[in-house]
Amino acid sequence: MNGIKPQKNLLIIVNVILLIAVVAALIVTAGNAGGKSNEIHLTTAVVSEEGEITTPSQESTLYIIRDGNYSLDIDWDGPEEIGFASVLTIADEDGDLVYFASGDAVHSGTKVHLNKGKYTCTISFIGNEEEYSIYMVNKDGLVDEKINFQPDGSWPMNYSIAFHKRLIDSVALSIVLATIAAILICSLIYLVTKLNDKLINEYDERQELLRGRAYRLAFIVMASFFGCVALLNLIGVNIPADKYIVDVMGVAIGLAVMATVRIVNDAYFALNENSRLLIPILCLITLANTIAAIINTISGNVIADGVLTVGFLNVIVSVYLLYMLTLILVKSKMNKSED
Amino acid sequence: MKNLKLKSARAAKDMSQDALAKIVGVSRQTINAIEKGDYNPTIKLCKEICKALDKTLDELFWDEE
Repeated sequence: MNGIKPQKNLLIIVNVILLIAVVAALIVTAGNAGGKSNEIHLTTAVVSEEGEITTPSQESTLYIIRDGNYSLDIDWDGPEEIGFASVLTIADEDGDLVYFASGDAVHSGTKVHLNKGKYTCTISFIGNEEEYSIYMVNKDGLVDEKINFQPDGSWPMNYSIAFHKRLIDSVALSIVLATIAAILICSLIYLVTKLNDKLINEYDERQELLRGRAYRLAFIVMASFFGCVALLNLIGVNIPADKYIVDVMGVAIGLAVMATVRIVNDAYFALNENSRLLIPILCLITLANTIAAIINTISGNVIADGVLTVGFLNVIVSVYLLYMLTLILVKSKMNKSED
Repeated sequence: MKNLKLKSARAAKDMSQDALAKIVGVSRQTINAIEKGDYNPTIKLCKEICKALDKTLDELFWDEE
């Protein structure tokens, strides 16, 4: 038996080293996945003279050093008038178009496959009133008569285009590394708790059975709740609450169901857990949350424009904790009278 | 169905539910549930209870029609 502990200690050390290595690798790959690999900025001062643009297009060169799918991040917003950037083209070294998009078709996140090489990016601007009319007719089917012609000229506009390589390999690697990190953390917890028996919650066979039933019931209730929410969203019913509030509410309902089944059946506290110590701690947490909930409610942070905001989180948690506390106290009172 | 045999065997030993629970390594509520017939224990737990009360499985857990 004595040989087991040093072996476990060694396993913990190896586990920690591996975990550090994996987390470091994860940071590096995650950084790569979100990094900018190619970025060009087209900054141009669009000049119009008597309603005619003298710089109808702007070119810039893009070098792609690695084949792959790129995500186009473009700042395309601007007033729709003479000088408005309406078309983006990307041509390879031979002048063949590899990408073309006009006005509304270009948006952030547009995916372009580019091979290694040199490309020319061109942004075309609406050059005159005639082009503007054609663009607007194609776009909206009508022409806005209130055109600002920019009679004197200078109209500096910054159009930026960034090509982010969609590093699918990096993303995939990050997911794999995150999974490995999660496994390592779990095994670390397992090893540490195995070394110290006091850290393991012990439940008897009846408690284990009821805990499992409670978990299953809570899962069904929670899944039903989120199913109902999805259905309401589908049929267009607007839930007057922030998305996070709905999510937390679902989790709180699931946890409340699980706790109810466990507390009622005396399967909540482990055999080696001191409920007399845990109840005061729970009281303190409930009190702190209730105070926060009251402060949030008084200061009006709970509802904004008829919608429940994140400030309502404390109210949910307080209600959940108060419910739990009441249930635990009632059950312990019942158990005492049973004794 | 209530397990009165277990209850009387425990009483004969002047043992509380809590004391028996501690000997066999379960919660007091589990012993209570077995006595009330709300829970069917595994054979492993039955054996532990029998050992603690110096009884056989037949004596404590066999239903005689």
